[in-house]
Amino acid sequence: MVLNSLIFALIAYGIAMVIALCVALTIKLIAIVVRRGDKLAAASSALPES
Amino acid sequence: MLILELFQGIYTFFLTAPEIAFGRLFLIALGLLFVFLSYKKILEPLVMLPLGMGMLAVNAGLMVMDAQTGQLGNLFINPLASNVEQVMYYLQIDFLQPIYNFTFSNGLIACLVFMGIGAITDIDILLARPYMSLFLAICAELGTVLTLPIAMAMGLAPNESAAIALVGGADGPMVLYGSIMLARDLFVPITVVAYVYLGVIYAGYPFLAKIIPRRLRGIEMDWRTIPQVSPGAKFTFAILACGFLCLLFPVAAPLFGSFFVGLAIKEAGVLRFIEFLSGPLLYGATFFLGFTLGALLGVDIILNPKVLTLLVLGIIALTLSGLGGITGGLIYHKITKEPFNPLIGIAAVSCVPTTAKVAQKCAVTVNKKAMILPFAMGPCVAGVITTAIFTGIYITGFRPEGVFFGLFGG
Repeated sequence: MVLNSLIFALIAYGIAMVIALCVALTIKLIAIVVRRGDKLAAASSALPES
Repeated sequence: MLILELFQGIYTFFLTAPEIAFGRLFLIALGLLFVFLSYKKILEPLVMLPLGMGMLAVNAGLMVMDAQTGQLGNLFINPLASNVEQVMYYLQIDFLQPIYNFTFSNGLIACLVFMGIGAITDIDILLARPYMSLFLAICAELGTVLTLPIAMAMGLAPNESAAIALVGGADGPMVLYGSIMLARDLFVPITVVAYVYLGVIYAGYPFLAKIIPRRLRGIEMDWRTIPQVSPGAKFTFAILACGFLCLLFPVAAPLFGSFFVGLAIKEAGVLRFIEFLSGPLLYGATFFLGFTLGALLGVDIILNPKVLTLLVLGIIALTLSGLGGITGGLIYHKITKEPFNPLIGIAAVSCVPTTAKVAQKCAVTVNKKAMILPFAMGPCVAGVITTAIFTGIYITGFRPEGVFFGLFGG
């Protein structure tokens, strides 16, 4: 039973690592999208008004 | 004796068994100690002062409730009221019974505190350095992971082991929520153990930090290199992270929802709500959390033989998490090309913002120019997220109707 719980705890550690990595990747993705959005906004505001 | 009956708090000392009378005296003294240490700011006064007062009042205020049967009780709370008739009766008699029934039994009080924490949490560093923050936070969950099998080896049931293991995450409201969901019978001692130990982290972790070589503790980091994060990115993160984590762990969705709604409101700049969440709601909930917990700390709690085991496991969990954070800090120091102070690893134990302050305090004692607090806040906030992930995994797996409960002979 104790060994089972140790295995479960280690599996939980692995799952938590994967989820944390997903969260970190989400953050990076948001940063890229927001940066691209800012660039587009800057580019569109730089266009001369017709 | 007739005169003594007039002063029932004293009179009831003579009506109960000696161990109960001594237990009451011990808890009154412990309550006084908590109040004194809170007054001296050695323990966190926001929680421990009302908790100590609650303990003092409830254990001093024992009285004869029914002269016919000689039943003893108090006018604070009856946590044992279970059926509707009893609950309705005590709701009208005990003044903290509504708080207990409507905010503790369903974990609402932890969620209210979390909304407030969300509204004051700064996630700039987490978003600027996500890999560093989350790597250290995962390392600092070592106590949450290893305390589970240790607790089971010490004879606790699987759900109780999972509940006390959450102390390793060093997050009071999370421990409260997790222990209510996992081991309702032990949620009072587990939460009190967590809050007492979290209160003394500020004094204890600097000793642990001395494992790191002195030259590494003094490493300076330039906080001006931290890139700016736009409010839009922070707002988007709050929404996406909330949806993603709720999707994975519906049992912990109230916690995720509460934390991220606070964060989203902060990043959206809704000033009225920010003021409400970070002021009256956060401090009101913290006050009632402390006072009600104190009032729940009756003599039956300390006579439970499992309490001693919980005290030992609480220390083990927080020590292992601290060691995990330090190890993570040392590993990150080795692999990164930029100057990195490994003390930041200790901040990843969560307990916002205490552990970040501990890291800063330890760095300054070695090198007065070492300013690591802005960097330490990233892993500190990431620690809240990783602890919430573990809470979700443990509640899903170990609550009595959970998927893994039967596997461990529960």
